[in-house]
Amino acid sequence: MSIKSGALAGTVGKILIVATASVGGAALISSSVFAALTASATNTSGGSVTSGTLKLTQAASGVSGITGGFETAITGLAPTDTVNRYVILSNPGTLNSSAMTLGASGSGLLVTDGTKGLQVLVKQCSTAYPDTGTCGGTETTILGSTSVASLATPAALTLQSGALNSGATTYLKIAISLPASSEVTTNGVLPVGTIQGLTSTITWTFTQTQRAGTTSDS
Amino acid sequence: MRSIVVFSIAGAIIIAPASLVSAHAAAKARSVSSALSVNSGTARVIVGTSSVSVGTLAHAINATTSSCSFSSTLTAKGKIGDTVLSLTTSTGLLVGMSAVATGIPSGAFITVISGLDVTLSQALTAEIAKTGPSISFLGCHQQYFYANNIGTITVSNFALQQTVSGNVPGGFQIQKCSGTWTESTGACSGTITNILSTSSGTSSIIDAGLGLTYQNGGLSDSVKLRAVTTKAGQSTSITSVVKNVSHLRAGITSNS
Repeated sequence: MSIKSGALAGTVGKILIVATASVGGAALISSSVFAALTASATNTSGGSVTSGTLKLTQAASGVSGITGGFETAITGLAPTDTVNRYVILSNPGTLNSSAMTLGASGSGLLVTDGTKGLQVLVKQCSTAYPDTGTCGGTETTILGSTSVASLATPAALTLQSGALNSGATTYLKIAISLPASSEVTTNGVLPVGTIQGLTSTITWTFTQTQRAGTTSDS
Repeated sequence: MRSIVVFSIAGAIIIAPASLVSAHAAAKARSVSSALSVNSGTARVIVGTSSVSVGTLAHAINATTSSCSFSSTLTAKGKIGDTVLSLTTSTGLLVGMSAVATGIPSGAFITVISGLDVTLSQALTAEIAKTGPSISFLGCHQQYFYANNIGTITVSNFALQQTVSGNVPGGFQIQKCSGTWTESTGACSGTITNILSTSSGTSSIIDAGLGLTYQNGGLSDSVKLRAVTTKAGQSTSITSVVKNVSHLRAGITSNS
């Protein structure tokens, strides 16, 4: 009986040893997940990231005699009259632009009638326009004669330099004209749908688009 | 290997470009002007009784504030093509009176009186003998009126049209004077020119050959005209017409 008891005790002891070893082994395996080695590196200088700016400003010419810009009203325009206004566009931002457009909005037949309404033509001069309106540098037509009505969908301006680079300035002559018309006025009564005697206010919007994004290695 | 990755990231941060742009959402910059006011002018001419008349209707003329007719024979034979006739007397004659005789074209009228000599607006088409027949000078049934620029654009010309009531022998003539009219005598210090001559119905639209300036901020230009006929009691209605195509001043290009 004691022999049997001793054998039983020996068997239990073996089971305990195996179980203990299994648990210990499992614990040893688990400990390798929760205690992995790590390493990090942080820059100690620099690291500054700055986004560029795209800006566009406009101003009337400062040359005496042609300072009307888009601020001074135009009155009494007769068919085939043209009024030239002079505007300076600048890009004071840090990004170059890739394209420029011109839009116009307003109400009334002068603005909305693509045939009888106002026409606009835009020229660019490489130097500031003098009061005579004659460009002393290189002059380029960057928007051919088109109706103001069509500028409801902004038209592209092909700038002389191709774009308005950061810090650059360009000089524009905006020729605003009323085209010839075939109206007949009898006894002082203007015809129905006349283009005469109208007043419209026009808002001009220049829009430039940033240059294409670049990928660089540095 | 792990160290290379770590230092690459750190380097990229330290040596970053000064500015970045997005490749997928291109930035735009706008510059919007203040509202520019643009006003178109008007080209309007009316006819009326005075130089300050305004309105929107044709001008009705019930002509003929006086009646003066005269007749005379010649002191010398009038030949075909002559426009100047030497009369035995010119008393009572007025510039603008119609001259009526065989050999004088219908509608001819006196344009100049110089002593006993009168100049007609049209040349003789047949001889008129010294001894007669007499030449009748009719008319000075007249009324003056004005064409006024009431618009805001100078016109280099305008047109007139008239509708004559009934039948007017010799025609209802609308005349201009290159000088100054003297209403009491019907004389013109310059030259009288017929703009229209209509015997009945509605005339064509005829250019007056006169410009009317627009005076900014003041009374605009006007011109005195005369309606004259050879018979009392006639009436006409005068319409003014301005055509943008042909009557406006030339376009102006300005820098401002």
